Amino acid sequence: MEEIPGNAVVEEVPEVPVVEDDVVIRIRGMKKSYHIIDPSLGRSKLHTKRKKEYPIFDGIDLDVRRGDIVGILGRNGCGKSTFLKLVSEILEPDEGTIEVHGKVASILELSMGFHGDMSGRDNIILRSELYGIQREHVIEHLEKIIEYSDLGIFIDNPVRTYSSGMRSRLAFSIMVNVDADIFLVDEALSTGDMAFASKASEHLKNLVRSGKTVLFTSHSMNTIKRTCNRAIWLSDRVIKMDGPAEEVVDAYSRSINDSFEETLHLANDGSSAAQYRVSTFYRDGNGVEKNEEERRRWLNEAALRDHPMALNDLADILMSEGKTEEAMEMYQKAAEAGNYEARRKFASLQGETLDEIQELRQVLKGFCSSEYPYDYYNYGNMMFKSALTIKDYEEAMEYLQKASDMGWSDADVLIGQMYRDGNGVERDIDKCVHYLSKAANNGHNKAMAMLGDLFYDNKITKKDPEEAFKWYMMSASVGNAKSQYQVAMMLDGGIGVEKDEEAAKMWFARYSSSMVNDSRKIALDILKSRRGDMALSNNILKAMSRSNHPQSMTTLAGKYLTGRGFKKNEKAAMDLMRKAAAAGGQPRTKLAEMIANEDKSGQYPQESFDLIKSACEFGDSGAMYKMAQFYKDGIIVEENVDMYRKYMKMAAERGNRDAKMTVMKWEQRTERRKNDKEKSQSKGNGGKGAPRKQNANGPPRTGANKGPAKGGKGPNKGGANKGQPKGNKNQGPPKNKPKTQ
Amino acid sequence: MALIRRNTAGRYKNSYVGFLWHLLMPALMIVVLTITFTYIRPRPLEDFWVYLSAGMFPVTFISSCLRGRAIVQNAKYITKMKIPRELVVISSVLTEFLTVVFAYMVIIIVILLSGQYVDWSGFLMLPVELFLMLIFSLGCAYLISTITVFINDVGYFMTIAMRLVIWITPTFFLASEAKGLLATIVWYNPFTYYVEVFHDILYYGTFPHIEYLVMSVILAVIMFAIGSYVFFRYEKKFPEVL
Repeated sequence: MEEIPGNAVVEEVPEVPVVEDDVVIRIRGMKKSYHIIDPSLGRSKLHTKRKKEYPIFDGIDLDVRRGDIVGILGRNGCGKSTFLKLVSEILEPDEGTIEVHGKVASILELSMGFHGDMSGRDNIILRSELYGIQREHVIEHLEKIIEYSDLGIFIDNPVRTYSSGMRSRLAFSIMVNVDADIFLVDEALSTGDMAFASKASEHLKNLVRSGKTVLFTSHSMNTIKRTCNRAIWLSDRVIKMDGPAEEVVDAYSRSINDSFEETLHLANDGSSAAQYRVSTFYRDGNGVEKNEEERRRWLNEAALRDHPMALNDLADILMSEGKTEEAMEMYQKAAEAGNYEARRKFASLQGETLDEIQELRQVLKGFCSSEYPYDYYNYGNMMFKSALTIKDYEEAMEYLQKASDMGWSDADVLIGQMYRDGNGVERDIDKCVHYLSKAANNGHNKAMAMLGDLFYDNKITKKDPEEAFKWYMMSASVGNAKSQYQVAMMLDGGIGVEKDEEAAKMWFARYSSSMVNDSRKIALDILKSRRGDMALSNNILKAMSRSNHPQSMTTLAGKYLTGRGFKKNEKAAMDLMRKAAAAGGQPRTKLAEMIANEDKSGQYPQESFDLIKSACEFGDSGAMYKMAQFYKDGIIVEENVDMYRKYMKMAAERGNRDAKMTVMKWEQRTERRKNDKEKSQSKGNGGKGAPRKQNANGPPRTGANKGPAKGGKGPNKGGANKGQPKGNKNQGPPKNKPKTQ
Repeated sequence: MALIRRNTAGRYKNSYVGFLWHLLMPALMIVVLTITFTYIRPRPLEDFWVYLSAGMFPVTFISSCLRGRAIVQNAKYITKMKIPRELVVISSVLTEFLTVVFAYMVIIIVILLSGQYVDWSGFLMLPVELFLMLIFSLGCAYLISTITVFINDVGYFMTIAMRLVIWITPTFFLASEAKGLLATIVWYNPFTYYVEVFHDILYYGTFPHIEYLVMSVILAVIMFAIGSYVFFRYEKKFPEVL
């Protein structure tokens, strides 16, 4: 029976009020306006001539039930106090009805109305009488009140000598003795020390437990979260949100973070984080007109307070103005303050001159003439990683967009990331989610995990544990350790999914084994990069294969096969591969290849074909690509162009690069034919041929056959994927990549 | 009641004699007036101090009610608490009224001690006339304080206007001494009737003029009717305007 804000119930404003037992406050279609002085109506000295109706509430519907403890949230001047005054019948609504059942005690401004010259004790009696309590009754309970107020010997001193905290303590204690059914409290718990605030909050909760109802306003989000079971958020003359306190408070604080005025206010108070945010508002024209000067001013302010992101942004601006020296200094400062981006930029600026970066960019840009998504992505990625100015980001975005339009999932992820962090573009969560889900639906593991994070962590978007769980689960099934952990946690706690401890245990187990393997992998990478102890790394590899880690088994098998670090042992290699093949599609394709290579008969072995076929069923794109080739060349199966195309397309959809390129070539060809433009074939071939030689060591086709379908994971996973184009790319521009790790 | 207590008990709270000041203040006031008009600016009238104080306190009382600050000064009660709003006006009028009552107690005690001639039937009319004056003042307070809520300037204007009223009411002079224009004004001034009744009772020691009494009743009824009409018509707007 949650109250739904809206107009759905307006019609049933009853002639004869039918009131359910537990609804103590019922508001229907309540409207209220104030007269304000509007300067736009002329400068007449007579106020009456400049007065204007200013609606403060426009159709409020609300039911408050007995036992509710409702927090009222909203910006200054949104009508929180007016709302309480209306409920307490101090003010009357212009339209609509407010029914209140029960005695109301409105404690609107706690410390008002004390007589400064009188003692705390006398003031207790006076105030209680104003609340309508019999004098005798007050005197009877006087000691109790004094004890509650914790004022000790001060109680007999004049109230004017009290501190404001003491005053509010006194005031609240008086309220304790007030007998009413509904308590309206305005900004009551904000003063007073922590101990008293929690005491007071406890008292309110007790009141509610004994069947009373409390409405109170506060600017302290925590107080409302702690105390209330329900909160309403007043904004723009209506109840903007009504629901469980935590949710409303979260939504409200998010909106405050996004509000320019509020942030500006904080910024003026000297909060460097707010100053930085103001600068981003000016940059993006968010809630205020774009203004570079203002942006610069606020960045300067924030940078003076050593705000790392401000330092970084300011350095970017200086960079674009050619003031490299100053920029370097700023980057260094920001890097010291822990800003990752600045560290990277500082390092890359220090490591190599800008010219070198420029050169590198030019090379990568040159590749883009091939119009392959892979090249677009590489260049976009490079621009993104080495971006120093907004322009760089914009260019990165442009190329990534091209790659993304061609279905390149890595590009989708990067774009999603840019939208999420507001790198060079305006922050846009919807777009971020759009791109990430696009990539995730194409099977991109990182995207799935990122989406999970996005929905789980409510900082940016609305918290949605169910959605988060969905994505985590997807990513965990593909073997992402962090997601496995999250899934286990969520199952265990019943967050976003039904509680299932058995399943949680299972996922924890999978997580721990992935964790162990992850650390092993890291160790392997380190050993490899340092050309460390071969025997040690081989042992690690063996341990990993023993725990059925398919990738290591494949790698190990490769080593047995080639005799690198081991005695050449083709049988052991074959065994390992068979084991790995049992776990998934990808190793099957590899195994099939190995068997085919073994086979000296010149015929393609049936076993390999079967393996490939089953790998296709597992959804391995490499296998599909292979299958397509079978159909093309008529190996084992008959030549069949349609089947060839079908498998090629399937492989392309699953993200196999070579398949994609092939499919794209078809499309380009048809396009060209359609346009009837005789672009020479040689140019097209030459264009894509040149970059390949630089990028990959081998021709792309064989490279992709060895590599996994989603090859773009970066060099961390590259251990097993020797032929993978991206892994090799790192050897091309060596100075850039390692620093970004 | 609590409001009155707050106003009265609080007033002299931070002093040594405390509540005694409520009696002491009028007594000392009378002493000052006596000294002034006996030694500094002597008047030929016998026991002029009785005449002065009998007139002075009612005029001060009525003019304080007419100053119209009652609601504005207690705005916090109107805007923050749900109490009957007329109580705010009534309590402030009653608080001032107490001063008059205390002052008259002092005067009567002194008169009795000095063994002057007293007309007992006139004395009986004293509470009646005090009550009439209270009703009249309450009406005034309702009216003026309501207007002051909406037009603040009225309050300031009334403060000055009340200074004038003291000089067109027979307090420092006898009503019969007034000549020409002043005489006309004096008898158009509603305060005069109340003050003259008190003069009759306390100074002249006679039963008050019947026509003054009748005028007191009529004025009290009219003023109270107008005042409360205006007040209750507009009281709902107070919390918004204040």
